[in-house]
Amino acid sequence: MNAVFKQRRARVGWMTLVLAGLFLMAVLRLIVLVEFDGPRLVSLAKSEHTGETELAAVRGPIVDRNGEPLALSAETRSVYARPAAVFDTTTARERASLAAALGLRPRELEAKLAKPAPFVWLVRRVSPARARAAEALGIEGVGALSEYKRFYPESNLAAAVVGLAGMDGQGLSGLELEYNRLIRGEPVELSFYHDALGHPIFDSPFALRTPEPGAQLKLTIDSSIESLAETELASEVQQSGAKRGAAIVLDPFTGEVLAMANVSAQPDSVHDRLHNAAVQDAFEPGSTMKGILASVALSDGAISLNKQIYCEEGHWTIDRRTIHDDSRHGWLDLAGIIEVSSNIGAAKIALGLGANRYYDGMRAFGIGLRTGIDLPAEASGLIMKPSTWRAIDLANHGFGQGVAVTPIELATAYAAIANGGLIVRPYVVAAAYDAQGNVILRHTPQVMRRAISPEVAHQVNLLLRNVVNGPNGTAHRAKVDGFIVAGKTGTAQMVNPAGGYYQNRHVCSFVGFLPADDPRLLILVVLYDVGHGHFGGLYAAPVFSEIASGAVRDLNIAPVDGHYDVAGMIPVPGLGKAGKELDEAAAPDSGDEIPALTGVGSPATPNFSGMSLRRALAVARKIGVTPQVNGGGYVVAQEPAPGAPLSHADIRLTLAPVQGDEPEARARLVTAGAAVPGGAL
Amino acid sequence: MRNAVTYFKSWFGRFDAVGYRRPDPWLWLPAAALILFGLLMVLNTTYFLGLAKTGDAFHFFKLHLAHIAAGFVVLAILSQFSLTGLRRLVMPLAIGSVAMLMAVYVPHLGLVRGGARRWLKLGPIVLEPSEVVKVALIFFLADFLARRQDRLRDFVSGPGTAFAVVGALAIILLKQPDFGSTVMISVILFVMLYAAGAEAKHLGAAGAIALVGLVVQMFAKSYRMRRLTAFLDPWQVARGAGFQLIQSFIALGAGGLRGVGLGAGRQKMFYLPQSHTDFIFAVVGEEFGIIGACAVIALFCMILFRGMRIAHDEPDPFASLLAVGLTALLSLQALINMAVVIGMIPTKGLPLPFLSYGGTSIMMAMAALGALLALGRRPAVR
Repeated sequence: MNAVFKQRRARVGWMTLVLAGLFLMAVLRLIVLVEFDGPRLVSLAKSEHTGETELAAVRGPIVDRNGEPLALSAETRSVYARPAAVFDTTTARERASLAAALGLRPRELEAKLAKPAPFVWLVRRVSPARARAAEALGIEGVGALSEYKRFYPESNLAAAVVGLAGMDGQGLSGLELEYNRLIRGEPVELSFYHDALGHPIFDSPFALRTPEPGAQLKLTIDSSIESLAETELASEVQQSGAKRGAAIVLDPFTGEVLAMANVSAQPDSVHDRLHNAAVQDAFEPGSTMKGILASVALSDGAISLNKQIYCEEGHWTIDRRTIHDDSRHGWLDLAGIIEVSSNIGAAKIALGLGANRYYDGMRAFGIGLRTGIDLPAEASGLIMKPSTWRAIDLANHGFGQGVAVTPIELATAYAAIANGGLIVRPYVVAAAYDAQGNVILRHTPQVMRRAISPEVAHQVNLLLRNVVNGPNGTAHRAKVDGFIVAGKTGTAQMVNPAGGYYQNRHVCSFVGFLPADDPRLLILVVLYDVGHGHFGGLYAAPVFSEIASGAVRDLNIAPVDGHYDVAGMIPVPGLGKAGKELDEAAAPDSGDEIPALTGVGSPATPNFSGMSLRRALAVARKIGVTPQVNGGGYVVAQEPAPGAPLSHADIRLTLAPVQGDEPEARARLVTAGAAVPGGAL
Repeated sequence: MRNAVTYFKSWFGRFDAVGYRRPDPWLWLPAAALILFGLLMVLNTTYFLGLAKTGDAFHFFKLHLAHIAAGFVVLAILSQFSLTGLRRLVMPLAIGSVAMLMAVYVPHLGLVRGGARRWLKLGPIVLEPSEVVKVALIFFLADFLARRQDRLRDFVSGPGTAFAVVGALAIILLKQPDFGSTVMISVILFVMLYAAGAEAKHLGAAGAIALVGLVVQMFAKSYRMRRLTAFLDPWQVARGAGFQLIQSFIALGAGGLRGVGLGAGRQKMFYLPQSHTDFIFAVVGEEFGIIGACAVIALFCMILFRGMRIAHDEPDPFASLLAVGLTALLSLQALINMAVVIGMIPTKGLPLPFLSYGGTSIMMAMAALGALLALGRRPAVR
């Protein structure tokens, strides 16, 4: 018995020690756990216990230059639920009445509540009345918060400029994106401790601070001009069968964008807000580039105003490629080339200028460079490096082929011609005001650089007037009553991504400004993907005219003159405008038909003077004579004199280059590597 | 009337037996401290639960108070028992507890919670028979082993019979299922057999067999397997089976050395499941840090030492083995509970004695303490 007692005492003793040892192990394990995993566990605890919610601020309005709203925010209520609480406290019937109050089907509501989340939105952005109806049911775990809904009161006015803001009040495109930080205001981020079911532990941290409302953006856009531009552009897109169009109205001196319209043949309210072709799409400008070419060539001295260039009667082959003009011309000076938009003339000027100098000149105009306009995702045009250009490339670039520009780039370049040679940075936002009305941002005109001298700008300004007003000008439809308009048309075949150009898809454009003597408005109109015909003057110029007519009324720009002042024009030798008889005989644009002769009734010798050889021969053939020809160029003398009785046998025509410096120009063309046909046919 | 009371007293033994001393303050003071601390922790951890489930934040606290009051009555009565009286409790306890255990399977009486048929519903009272069974088994084994003191070296008549009894109980408990209690009674059996003087080789062989059984049971139920893998790497299944353990770790880690302060813990706010019952120790660690947790461990160690001292000093085999069993019950259950909370062993589902919320659990812990106090009053114990 004693032995048993002793053994038990010993065993109890051992057991006590073992158990105490186990307690000690527990202590050690606890220390190890807290010591080694502590920081990780603490941060886990923090992330688990901390909830964050953001109270969105009211997004600031966007208004035009006159305060007309383009984007506003309205208060809406969003109803949320804490599913666990709702399920704990409601019957299916109560939930059905909640669904009814929210305008949901009961099954939809159950599906939303079935999510394993502490917090779910039941409906977002509903009217305050509907949210009140839901809250009035007094269901625990259901509540509503204010959210703001963006809406655009002028429906799609300046849609691509204003852009789009998403559900959660973040800017997605346009100014909503570019100025998001200003517009969105200061949301209040609340962090609070909550239990595992999502209940905040401390009462109502919501009252701590109210969100700071977003800034108001005041634009340079003028709603009425914008609206006019969009309407006119849309109707022309319809009529011309273009896929889409873009128009920009700038103040050429300040760079303020008065209107920026983007129109699609198939409007899409979301896509139209996301994409702004006027700053995001580059296109081949075609002949509108000739105004830039003229400016560069004049400031370079590569050409003078009175220099004559032979325009090859409409077909000219260099590098085994043929350049075509829309109409046949012989000798033209710069003014004539611009007026009739001769590709051959432009090509020769470009060749005379040389690749590097033309490239530098275009870069000075900002071609291939972003303008820095305050809109997101601005694209730049594209010019290849001049070292890669062959002669044909240089020639093509002269009339705007193989070069890409964005509409805003082209408008800014022409603004420099209009304003005396300065490249200004275009801008859309004039100022931003905080909720108290303090100015927090103001944009002032910013000159980037000088592209050309004021003198050259003035010369080109005069040249561009001929395009609209000259008898052979390509853009008579751009005329605006009471104003002198200067501008340039452009038509280019669209680039086929597969290589080459589409034969029947064109980009037609017109860029111009008025009043020409004191430009207040610069307007660019671009029509993309015009299927048939291909004259910029036919499609884009009338849009220009309509926008300009409305804009001058809106801006109260006084008419300068009811009629075009012929004396202000640069005389163009070789193009009939001084005398009517010459005009008729020489008008190259009048098509295939050979003009009627003077004094047809009694056969008399026609007046050949000023005619190119080809034309003179055609006229002679018509009356059944074969003239003897001496020299090359244009007819400078004839025998017998005009009007004299027609002698079928012997009409002698003497031809000569009209201007004395022609050989020199031809020599330069030769050195530039272009094949120049001989003067004599 | 007076005769009836006298008879009643004498049936339990000598209430005021000659030479019996006051209850050992070094035994009841730590227990009282744990109970009071437990009151605080239960209030603390059930406040939000009560609010969420019944709308009354103090619902569970009030119930806990009632359980403690009832437990105190049991404790006070038992602490007055003589050894004879305690020995007279053996058979009623054994029969009663087994009856309760079987009654769980009676329709309308048995209550199923969380997939386990473990509770008995008698009107407003909900009992957990397995808690009673543990105490009853200790009484039974103390009596059984004391009687067979001289035959313990024979496996069949000694340990073998005890194994058979406990094995039968274990099968019933596993059926509920109550794996934690099964482990608990098995461990108690080994402890008491060892103390009673059973052959170490018998215990070793039986232990090996029991271990095999344990492993089989582990693989038998997929949730036990998940618990095991969750225990081995809780982070891998942080969203599933390891969730509770991770939340427990987060509580302990957030507590650090000194804790975040009474009531400031957040894990009890529905992050940590069972934060008021099986995982209350994690909340202790969160709010009072390592220091608080170690204090709780120290209190259990005091109970361990004082209880084992009684067993050590007691020459009467029944009294000594009863003291061993009851002390082992309290300290082992505490150990296993803490070991689960700190990730030393897989989840069992055992409450922490004196601290955890749970009616039967706290009442039986107090009953065990009462019996221990009664044993400690005997003149044999110095």
